[in-house]
Amino acid sequence: MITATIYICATLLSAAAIAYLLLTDPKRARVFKQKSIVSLPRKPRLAWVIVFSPAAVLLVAGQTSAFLAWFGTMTVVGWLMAMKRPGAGA
Amino acid sequence: MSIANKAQSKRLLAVHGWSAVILGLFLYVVVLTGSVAVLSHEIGLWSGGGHGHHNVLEHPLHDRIVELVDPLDPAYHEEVSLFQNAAGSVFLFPHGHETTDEGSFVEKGVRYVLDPVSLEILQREEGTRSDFAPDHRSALDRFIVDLHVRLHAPNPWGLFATGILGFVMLSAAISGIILHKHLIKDLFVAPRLSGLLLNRRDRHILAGSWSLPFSFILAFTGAFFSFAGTIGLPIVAMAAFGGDQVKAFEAVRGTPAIEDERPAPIYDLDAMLAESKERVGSTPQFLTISNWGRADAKLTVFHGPAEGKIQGSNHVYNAATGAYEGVKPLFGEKPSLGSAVFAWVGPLHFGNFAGLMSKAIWVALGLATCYVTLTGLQLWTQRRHESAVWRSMSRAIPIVGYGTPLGLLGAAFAFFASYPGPNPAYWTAVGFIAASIASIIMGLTIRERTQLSRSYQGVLAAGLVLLPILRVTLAEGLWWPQLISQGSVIIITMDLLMLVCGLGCLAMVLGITFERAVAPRPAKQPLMQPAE
Repeated sequence: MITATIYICATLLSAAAIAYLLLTDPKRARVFKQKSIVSLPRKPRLAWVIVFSPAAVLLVAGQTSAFLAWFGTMTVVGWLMAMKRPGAGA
Repeated sequence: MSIANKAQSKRLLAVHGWSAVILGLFLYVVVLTGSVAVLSHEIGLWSGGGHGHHNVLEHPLHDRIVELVDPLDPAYHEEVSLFQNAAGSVFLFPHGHETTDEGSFVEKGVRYVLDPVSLEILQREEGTRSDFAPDHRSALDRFIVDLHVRLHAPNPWGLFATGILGFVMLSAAISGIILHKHLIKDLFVAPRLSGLLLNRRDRHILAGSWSLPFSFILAFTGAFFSFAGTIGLPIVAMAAFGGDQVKAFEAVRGTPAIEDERPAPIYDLDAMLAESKERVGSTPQFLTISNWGRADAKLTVFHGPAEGKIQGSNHVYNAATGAYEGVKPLFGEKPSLGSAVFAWVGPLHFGNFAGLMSKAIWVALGLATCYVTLTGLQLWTQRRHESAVWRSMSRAIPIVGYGTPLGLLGAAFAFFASYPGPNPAYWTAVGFIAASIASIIMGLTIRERTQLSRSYQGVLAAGLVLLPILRVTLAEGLWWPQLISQGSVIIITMDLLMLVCGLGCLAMVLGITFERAVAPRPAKQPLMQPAE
């Protein structure tokens, strides 16, 4: 139960950081002529640190099971999020 | 980002593409069946209808095992293993280790198949593992696992084939990284709509980039499993044990330094199992007893991973006195780096370290790799669409792409139709072949691509929705109220999974794709970017 909770928290944190990277990605915005609904400051390095921060925490805490589950989930979730094309007006 | 010049990139693209064209469809079959095989335990439980719920290691078994093992040839007392498969069948296998005339390592003994509740003998066979008839109850999950592991080819050729496919996947991943100059920049660029070729390229690169870490992991660990027994052990045996594979195996397994051949009765197995359960906090998964009936007999009890961990653990007892002796490493008698590294290989490949949660993630990772393989093949053939040969090749992609799951569906139908008859293993294979042939005929007769895809999706949808019904009606499976009363959540989950996948296929027939669902409004004139 503890492992599942830690895994969910880690996944949500990384997914939020990936969503931020997605929304602020310059090439994505350029390709789809995207106009941001909300103007977000671009801090890609910080966002990448947040994406990977659960890895360090989980490994230091010895939660190898949650670490692997988190890592696998992030590759699939990241892909599915990136697959989504921004709306025409978005 | 590019680490290759134009000429090198061109050569690398040729290697990347041609290796995929020649072996990509086989790779797809192996990866797809691997994704399904991640759930092999659940499929075994599900296809067995729920009758395998009784865990034999939670009930008294000492007297019965002693009664069956004691009278046997002492040569078979070298090791006794007890294992219950997902379908519920219990296998008791007292055996000795031998080297054949061809130099191969074999386990020879008597294999009992026991009823999980009464422990009555259902089947008794004497010989080596390869001589034993397959278990009828687990014919479906065994068929899927064997298809993934060795494509049903004879040993060791099937393992060589899947091992080579593992290396093909590894080389495709490495060459893909070198070829794709904008891996990080394109990580968030959704597939563009401005052209079919560009769209397919974007899909392939996007899925390939995100699934890259696990493509490496799954390919490497898969190739390792294919080659470890077929090449690794014989090489180690030749280099360090003068070719004696039995000695090599015993060194890997770990043999006690001090031997004591004095006769001694086996201590109460039930008491040792109960102690192990209390110590670890989980029910044992299987057990082995070495040197049965001797003073140096050892009981090794395997437990699945503890909370938060990915590796299981082996707990050793003195089987003559019942004394607990500690945790045994995977290899040898003492902890080692090799043992620690090897302990990661299994969980990384099977994804079986956190129950259904981790298995579901591994299924998704496998399916992502399938997507990368198929979109890569589509891209390659689309680029050469003017050639009649490549147009023919492009027809093979949907045939294999849909034909493999349809073949598996046919195998499941045939299993349920023939179970509990005399030979469900044979009919399961026949069902797979028949459904595969039907898929090929469909692919050759329906010329229009969209219509072909929708026909395949329609058949898949109907078949998947029907499976839970067939499980109950044809194979004497338990229905949901009975499963709920005995707490068999997994079978209900599997039924629901079939229904959800069936409805997903139906949605595709109706044109409700994932992409349209997540992006209802198409982008307005997306800007073209350089291809690579």
